[in-house]
Amino acid sequence: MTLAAVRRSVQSSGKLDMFVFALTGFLIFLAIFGPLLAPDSIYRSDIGNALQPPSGAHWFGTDDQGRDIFWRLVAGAQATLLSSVLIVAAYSLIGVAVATIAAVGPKWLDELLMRITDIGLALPGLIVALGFAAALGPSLESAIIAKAITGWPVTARLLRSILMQTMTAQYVVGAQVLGASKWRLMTRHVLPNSLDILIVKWAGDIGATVLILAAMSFIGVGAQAPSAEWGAMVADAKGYVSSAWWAVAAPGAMIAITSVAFSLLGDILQVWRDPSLRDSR
Amino acid sequence: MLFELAHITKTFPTAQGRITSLDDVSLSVGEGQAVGLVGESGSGKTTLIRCALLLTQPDGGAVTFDGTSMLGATREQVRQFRRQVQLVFQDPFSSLNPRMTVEELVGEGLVIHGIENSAARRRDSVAEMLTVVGLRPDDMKRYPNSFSGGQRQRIAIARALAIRPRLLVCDEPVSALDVSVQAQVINLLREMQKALGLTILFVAHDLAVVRHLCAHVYVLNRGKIVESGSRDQVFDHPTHPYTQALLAAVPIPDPRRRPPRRQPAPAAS
Repeated sequence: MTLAAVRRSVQSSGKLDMFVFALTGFLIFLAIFGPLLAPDSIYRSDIGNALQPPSGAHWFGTDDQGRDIFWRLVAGAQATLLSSVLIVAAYSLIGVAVATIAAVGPKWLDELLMRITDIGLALPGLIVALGFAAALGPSLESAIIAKAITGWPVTARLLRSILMQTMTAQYVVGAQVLGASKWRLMTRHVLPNSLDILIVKWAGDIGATVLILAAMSFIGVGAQAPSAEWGAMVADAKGYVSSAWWAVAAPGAMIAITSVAFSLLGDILQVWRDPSLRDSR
Repeated sequence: MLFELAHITKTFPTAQGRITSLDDVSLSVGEGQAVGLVGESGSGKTTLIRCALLLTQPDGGAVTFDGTSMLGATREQVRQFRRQVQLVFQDPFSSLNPRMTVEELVGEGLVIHGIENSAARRRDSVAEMLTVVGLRPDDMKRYPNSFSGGQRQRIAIARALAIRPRLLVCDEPVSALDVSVQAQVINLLREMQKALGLTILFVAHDLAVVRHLCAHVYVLNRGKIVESGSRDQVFDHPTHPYTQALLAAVPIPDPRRRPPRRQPAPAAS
């Protein structure tokens, strides 16, 4: 049974929708309040307690510094998930701006922006982001900046084609006949009827960005050692994987769960937006 | 003449060379008249409308409104044109922005042209317009998707007429509607024409509808005007074989009147 088939069978019951909403809601709650909930001890070494297996006192065990992994995961949600949300928001803004200028501007500007977008699409995003992050110095901030700069081309390309399509809609032609200015056509008629697809893309993008941000931290160009960012936690613990699997498995599982949860949220929103997809998947 | 198209030519490039969509099309509409333009799908009706409304630049010819040549007109002249010429689309399901309320839709022209700048006065204006087209003023807070096709077309007509244009171009305004609703919308247009002194260019493939509304008729076939004249002339004594074929294709509901094929359908009332 493929993942798609599993998804289809569960999804038809509507229970998956509710589960995904609850899960993503919970993750967002952690991203906002996690650092407030976690005790300060998660940033202090307690070598005597190092590499304890999961137990009642330490639900997910402890890492090589004796820090409680469960609470580090709670606190680290912010570094991983909130950063991903910021990244997606930032590059979506760039993408929307580029797409809008390309769609309404003169043809040469459209061509210019789309060729730049093509270059952006052709470059392997992760590699370029790694380069940026390395140049800016390894830190969570540079990883965020690097991903925000390299993430916009897909949004720009997608939105431009949707804008072009919406611009031929009859109600847009109607507003043109009514004498609406280009600005009014865009802000009142074209954009409001084009942006909803981005909400779908945002959810999926957050899932993908969580994965990339964690990967960058894992490689060492993102969040650095004391941080409870999940990718950094996996990187810290990878040396002990044979003796303390939980120190790698717990943050790894969180990355996977978060990434999948937001991807599924994207799929669900897509169906809500366009119910005709409901039976076709 | 209020509105004149003279020798309009429009071609489109395709892989097989240029296709001629409009070939030397001329028509004129006098103030207060209702003029019909009949043609089947692919005859160039839509292209003609796009040229007439300055949405597409024709390859050659002239568009004249109220004595002003509109091809190469100044911005201000085009703005005046937009203020005085409005369009009602064929499909009322795609011609109304789904994210605007009826109030915003009907009042948009008033905003664009600065006719009513106060929101309260604009609301009164919209309410009045809705009453004129047979909708309730209470409906203005609703969105178009909560209305039926006929009601939507009334909203579209209210939207077009709110700025009191002199010329209303109707692009098959009833062909997407149920037959029972068609007559209501046509009668509404006829009332508007009389009450507001509106000039109408009515484009359709449905001869019965054109006959009911228009005093003067043009027949478009493959991008050319093949016949034109008064309603009686075109319907009773068609000269061009295409017009004759079109008329012969109109079903006559009364079997006893059917045999002499070219006998005109009784005028609907």
